[in-house]
Amino acid sequence: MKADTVCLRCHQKCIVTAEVKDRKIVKMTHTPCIKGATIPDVMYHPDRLLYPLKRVGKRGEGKWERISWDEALNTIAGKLGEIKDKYGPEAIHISDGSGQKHIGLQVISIAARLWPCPNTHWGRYTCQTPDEFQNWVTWGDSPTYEFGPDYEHSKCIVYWGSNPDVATPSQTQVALKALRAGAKLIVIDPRPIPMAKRADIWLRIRPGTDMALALAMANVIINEKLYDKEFVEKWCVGFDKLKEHVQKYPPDWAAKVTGLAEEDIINAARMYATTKPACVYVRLGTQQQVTATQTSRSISLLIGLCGNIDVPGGNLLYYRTYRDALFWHIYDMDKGIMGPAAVEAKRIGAKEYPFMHKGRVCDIPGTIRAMGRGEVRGLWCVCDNLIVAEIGNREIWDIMKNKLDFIFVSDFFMTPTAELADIVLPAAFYQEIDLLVGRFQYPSNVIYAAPKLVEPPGECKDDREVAIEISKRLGADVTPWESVKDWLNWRLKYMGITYDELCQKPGSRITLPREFRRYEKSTPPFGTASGKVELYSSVFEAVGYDPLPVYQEPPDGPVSTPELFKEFPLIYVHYRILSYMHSEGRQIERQRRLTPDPYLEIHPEKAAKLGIKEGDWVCLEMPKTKGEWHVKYKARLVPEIHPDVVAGPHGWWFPEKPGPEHGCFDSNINAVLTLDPPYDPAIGVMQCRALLCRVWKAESQ
Amino acid sequence: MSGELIDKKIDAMLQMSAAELKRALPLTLDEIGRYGIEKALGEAPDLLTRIIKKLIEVDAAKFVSEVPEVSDKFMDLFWEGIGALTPKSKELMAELKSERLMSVLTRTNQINVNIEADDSPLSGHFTISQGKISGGSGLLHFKDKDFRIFGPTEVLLTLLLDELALGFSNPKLMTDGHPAFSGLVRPVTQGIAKIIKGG
Repeated sequence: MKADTVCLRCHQKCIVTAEVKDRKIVKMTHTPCIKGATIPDVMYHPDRLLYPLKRVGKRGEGKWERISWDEALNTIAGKLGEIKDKYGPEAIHISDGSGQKHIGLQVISIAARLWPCPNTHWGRYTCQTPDEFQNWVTWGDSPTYEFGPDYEHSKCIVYWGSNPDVATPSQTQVALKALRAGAKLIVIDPRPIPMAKRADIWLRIRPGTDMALALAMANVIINEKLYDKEFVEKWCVGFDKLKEHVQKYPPDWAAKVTGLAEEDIINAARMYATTKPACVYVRLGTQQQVTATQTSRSISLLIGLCGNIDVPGGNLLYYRTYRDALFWHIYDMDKGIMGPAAVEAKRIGAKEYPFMHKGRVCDIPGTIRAMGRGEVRGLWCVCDNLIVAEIGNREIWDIMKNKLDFIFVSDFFMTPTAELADIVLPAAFYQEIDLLVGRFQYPSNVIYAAPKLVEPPGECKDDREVAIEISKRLGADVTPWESVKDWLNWRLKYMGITYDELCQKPGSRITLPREFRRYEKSTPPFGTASGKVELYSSVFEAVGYDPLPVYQEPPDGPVSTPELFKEFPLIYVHYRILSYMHSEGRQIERQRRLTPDPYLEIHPEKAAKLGIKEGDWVCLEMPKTKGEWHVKYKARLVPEIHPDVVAGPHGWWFPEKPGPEHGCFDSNINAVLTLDPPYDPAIGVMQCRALLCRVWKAESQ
Repeated sequence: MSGELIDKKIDAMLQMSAAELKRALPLTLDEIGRYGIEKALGEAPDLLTRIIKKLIEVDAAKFVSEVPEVSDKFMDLFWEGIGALTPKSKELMAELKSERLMSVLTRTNQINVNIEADDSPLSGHFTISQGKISGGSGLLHFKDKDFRIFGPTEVLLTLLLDELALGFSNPKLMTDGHPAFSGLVRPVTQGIAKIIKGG
């Protein structure tokens, strides 16, 4: 039997085809990348967790005993109940990993409401949240994120700090069609990503200076009167203030700051403003920094100035499609389901980061430190390899091992994080459970039901069911989510259809009307405080943030700390790997074969000066953990990379190395980063890219 | 008791200290209830506004925490009053019959909104249906709720007066429920503020 299903091994939610034989998935087809093709490799991997396990030795000792689900759930509910009674609901934290976030976010929503539990996060505060937050204050939607750009109809595509061939391969196919049809391409990245090689203009920017570039482009667009006057006058607020503001940021100034040629900055601004329609895809190159929110906002302003919003080929108001349909998209659930008000008020970071609080995201560094102080006592990692994926993982290791009262982890495999748990639960994989997906992938106007194709092996269980079962054992009123099916029906409740009925529709999908320029006929036109595009942010002004982006250098760098730059003369950035999703997939042989080692990209001239050759193992050290810790990578010489930049993978570990650590500190940048300030004032993100470092040849692997 | 007397009682309350108000407000709310909120509002159209402003002045969260019965008494009167005044407001009725609201109501029949303070027992709910607003004290069960407005007591009361800076975008005001309802509920709360100010 062949059946269409959805791959949830990254954000893209690609529709793929599964071949089922003898109640097993034997092959995947129509997969745009290796992660889809290796779905059966994950499901039937010999190391997959199949039964609930209870720790019988010391934490991290690796001694486990198989237990029944009843015992597991009763123990978990008992421990959580004790913690709640003694320390309050805020003493429990639920952490959801990124790869499994589509399920994890639902788990968090269920638990947040039913347990209830205010302190949750889903591994995105460093990446998506700053961009989403600025999108919200500027547009009341999320047009710059993965699902916003309408590549198909675009005449000019801008990839800003994003590597679509790796991060969004299925959307890349659409973009490539547009490029073949003659669309212009601008790429802003310090690395020679595949799109850079196709670009009309590649701006090999100094990491951490993207805001300077965006403000200078705004300067050119405004001063050369290339902006969309009619759109700005009718639909935007704050143009005059922005015009005055960007006079401080001329292209010659930006050229010095960014390391780019003034002429290239001007040409990029002209190309974006005059080649209509144009779309921008903004990703992690602009995030993970203390200026992340304002950097994203400075790029958003370009879209507003040029009126490239919700027009064919521009950046679309993604959420509007789902909101008009009243579908509970998982990203709407993020803000839409909360616990009782008095419980919500106890969210960690509520006072320091009011908009994070409003968006139901707790302050993660604050939460981890609260664990260290004994204010947070219980932890559920929902397919979240926290120890590998989170910054400052040595500190987190110590806290998890020694400070928390109770930890339980659901996952597919025994990870370094699961090794520290008191109970480990075997999670069901996506094709083993009923899924309801609001498409993330282009075109993003489809609701898709992907029912269970095969039974989970062993005793693997849907994490949503686990959350509901724990709620019942905590004595919660679980109405209206008595079961996972109820939950799925609830997500469709305003659409007048049940999950089973959706499964019966052709293609198991509903295609929502996809219109353009919806602001012209809606009241208010945009979901912002003023109802218009806020070039000047009234919300930021009200809370004391800069209402217009003010350029700020990275905390450490050649300009901010020139003396430190002499000692640490390289700038570190992350890159993403097609064969993995963050920390996932290292144990899957077919994926590992594609990228067997953690490679550090370095310019050949820099490498030569350091005596480093291609394939040598190298050590990397950062100022904050200097002399204390370093990490190792295999050198990959990349001639076109920015000469001051080195780039490494994120979240690397070695499942094949002995537990409990499985090499989670060896080649993982999070082991030399800390949770210490400074933070982005709006979001609380630390600087975790555009960081100074030094590299030397390792004596051995 | 006459409308004039109620007006005078409210005026007198405006001069009271918090301690005096603790005794006076529950009794006055009862008296208004007995007299009839619709009648009282007919004679003192800004009555509810004056009560809200006084509550804010005396630290509403502390006050309602110390005199929790005020929450139910006030919310019952408030929403009964709104229900009575709504048909008399052309502007609010136009909003309640607007195309964008009707297009949703044809699918949901009604929009149920909870109001919940995070620092006091203040809670209530209201329902928007075709050309009508009704409501009262306490919260609707989550399964029946479409939208919720919550946060500090003072913020909620200020929102009811439509005097909250940035409205629903205010960082202290929390909302949940399907986000599509936000743009539908906001004009209704704005309309409510106008009628309780005598507009």
